[in-house]
Amino acid sequence: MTIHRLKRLGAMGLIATVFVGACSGSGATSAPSNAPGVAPSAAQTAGAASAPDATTGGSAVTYRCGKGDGQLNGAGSTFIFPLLSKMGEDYNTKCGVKLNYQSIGSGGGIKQWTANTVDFGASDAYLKDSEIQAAAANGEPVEIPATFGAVVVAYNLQGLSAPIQMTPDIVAGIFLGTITKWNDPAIAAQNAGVNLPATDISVVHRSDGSGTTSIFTTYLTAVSPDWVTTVGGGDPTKSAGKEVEWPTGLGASGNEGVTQGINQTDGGVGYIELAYALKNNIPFATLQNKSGNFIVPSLDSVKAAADLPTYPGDLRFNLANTDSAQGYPITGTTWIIVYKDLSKVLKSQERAQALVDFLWWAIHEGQGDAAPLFYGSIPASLLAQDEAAVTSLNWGGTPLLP
Amino acid sequence: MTPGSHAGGIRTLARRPGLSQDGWFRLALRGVALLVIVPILWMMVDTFSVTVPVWERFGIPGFVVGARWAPSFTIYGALPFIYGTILTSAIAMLIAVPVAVLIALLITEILPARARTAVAVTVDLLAAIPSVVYGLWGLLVLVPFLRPFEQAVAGTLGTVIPFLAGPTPGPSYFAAGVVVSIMIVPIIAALSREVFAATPRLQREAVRALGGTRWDVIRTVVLPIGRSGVLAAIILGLARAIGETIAVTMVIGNAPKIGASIFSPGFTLASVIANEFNEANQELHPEALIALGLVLLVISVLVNGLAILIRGRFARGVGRVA
Repeated sequence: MTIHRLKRLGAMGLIATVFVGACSGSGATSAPSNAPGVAPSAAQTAGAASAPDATTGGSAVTYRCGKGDGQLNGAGSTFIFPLLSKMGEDYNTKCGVKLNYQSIGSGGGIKQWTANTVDFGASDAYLKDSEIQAAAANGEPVEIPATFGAVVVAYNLQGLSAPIQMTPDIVAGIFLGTITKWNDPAIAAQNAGVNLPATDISVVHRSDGSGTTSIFTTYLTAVSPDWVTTVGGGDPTKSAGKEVEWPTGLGASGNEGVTQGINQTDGGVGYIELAYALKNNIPFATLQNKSGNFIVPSLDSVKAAADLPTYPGDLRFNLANTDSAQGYPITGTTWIIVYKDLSKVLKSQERAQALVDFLWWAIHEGQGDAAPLFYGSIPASLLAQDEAAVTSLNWGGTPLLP
Repeated sequence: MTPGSHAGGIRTLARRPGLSQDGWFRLALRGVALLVIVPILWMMVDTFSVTVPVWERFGIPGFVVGARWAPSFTIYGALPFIYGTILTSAIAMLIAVPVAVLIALLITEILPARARTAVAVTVDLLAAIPSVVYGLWGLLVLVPFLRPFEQAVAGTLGTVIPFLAGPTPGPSYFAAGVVVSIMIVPIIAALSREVFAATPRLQREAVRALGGTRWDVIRTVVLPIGRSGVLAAIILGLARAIGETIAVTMVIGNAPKIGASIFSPGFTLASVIANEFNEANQELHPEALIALGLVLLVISVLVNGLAILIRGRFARGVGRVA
């Protein structure tokens, strides 16, 4: 708690500094910055902190700070919420636009976006074809990968210091309930020299529908035919998702509930977000990826997992069991979802401008907020396509960004 | 009481043009009574109409006794939750009723006047603790504390009786029952205390005069006369046990299955709604959860109806004793 406090105080100091910097230069330029087509102000660009990967894209990045109605509304993924609230704070300081984000879960976010009650949705899964159909009346969606996260297999084994190494088969076996002891030969074979106890394995999973569950079960579905047979009845669309029919274990609500469940029982194991595990110093397993390497979950291995040679044109991709040699295999993406032609859904072009300006900022300077909060930022290989996605947004055919 | 029953002078004083004061009062009371009934009826009609697709798909018996709850397969059965609700409530009542009645007797019959207030206030304070605090305390303190006991039972009796068998992961029907029992003890104890304290002094003294001991007083006067009141207290406690949500969801293990043992993780009607509603996006999932709410409502109504029936019986019994 105190550490959080201190961090927050530190962050506030930083914001204050940025704010002063922005103020000193913005007096002359703030008046015309609402009008479309005005050149971005130099002062605002100068205020930009360096965003690790994003700004290495080449051309200098500029921010226009369209004000619109002074606020933007979004809803969806709980996973991205801490990042979006920090981004919202920073963006408000920088541009005076307030971001209201309802962290109601990806499904709820998509519903609200479809019903056009928010300016953007955020989801840990890209839109299903049926969801695109459902929103067709409002036009074509644009899905912008905004951040990346990993899900780790966390455990509680007293007296064990080195991280346990797991293969996909071990992870699937534990969560299927076929591996029930920590000294199971399958685990022992991958952990020579580790003195594994004969403790019972006590599985904890999420009881509430969750993007974390979706990322984790998508991985299990990708690596384990047994998982698909037992949990999905042979149907991979039923063995992966926000809620599945768990063959074993206790249910707990939220990352903190699962962590509590793990910590309480010697031999407990569950899946939680990497960010949560890192913040709370919870031990987690090293996983073997598709290339056969054992990968420690970290911001670097998440970034590696997200760093693909090519991405599909619509940016709907799946990072579970990544091909990347140094990538961590249980990695997920959160997409920000908006309509391509905003003239059909938003009440004014100024508001559309404000939204697009925020998104442009979020995929560049905003990415600087990711690492301190343990989120994986947008890799350089993806940035050009993200930029193209934001640039494609328009007002009845008129581009909103130059 | 009819207005005519008043003495003439008073009636003249109370009379106003139009409705009498009594008339206005009666009208107001009727209005308030309607205010209570309308939301309940409204709730029932509304929940039923929302859940029509569920009843159409599974049928009322199919949904109520369906043992599988699998939103990813669009299969919804309420039985695991009905079972969990009944089992945890039963465990809670089994523990809470004797303890609460004994505490009430202790306070009214045994303790000296000064200690009486102290104990009574402490018990009442238990009722003022928010249920989320009970839940946290249950999860962090009680569950680890109960585990050795659970393991001992599962290792001995459990090897013969499957209902008490291991494994004992901690959160379970049993843990939920124990937490809920602590939550309802003050409710039952406080009401029973009032009931016992209202025992007519004459009858107590009559038993003492005949050479009866304190125990004789309790056995022959306090308990029989208080029976219907204590039963009302128990029903109130049971209603709380059936509906308790947050504390239960924190210690029951949240597994939508019928656990074979009382040490298995399970789910109750109220806790599954709290857990799954936020992210219920699968086909029929929100409707099925609301249908569970309707089942819970029906169970509550049944329990209360049963209570009224039993209380009527007991009240007649008391008449005979007195």
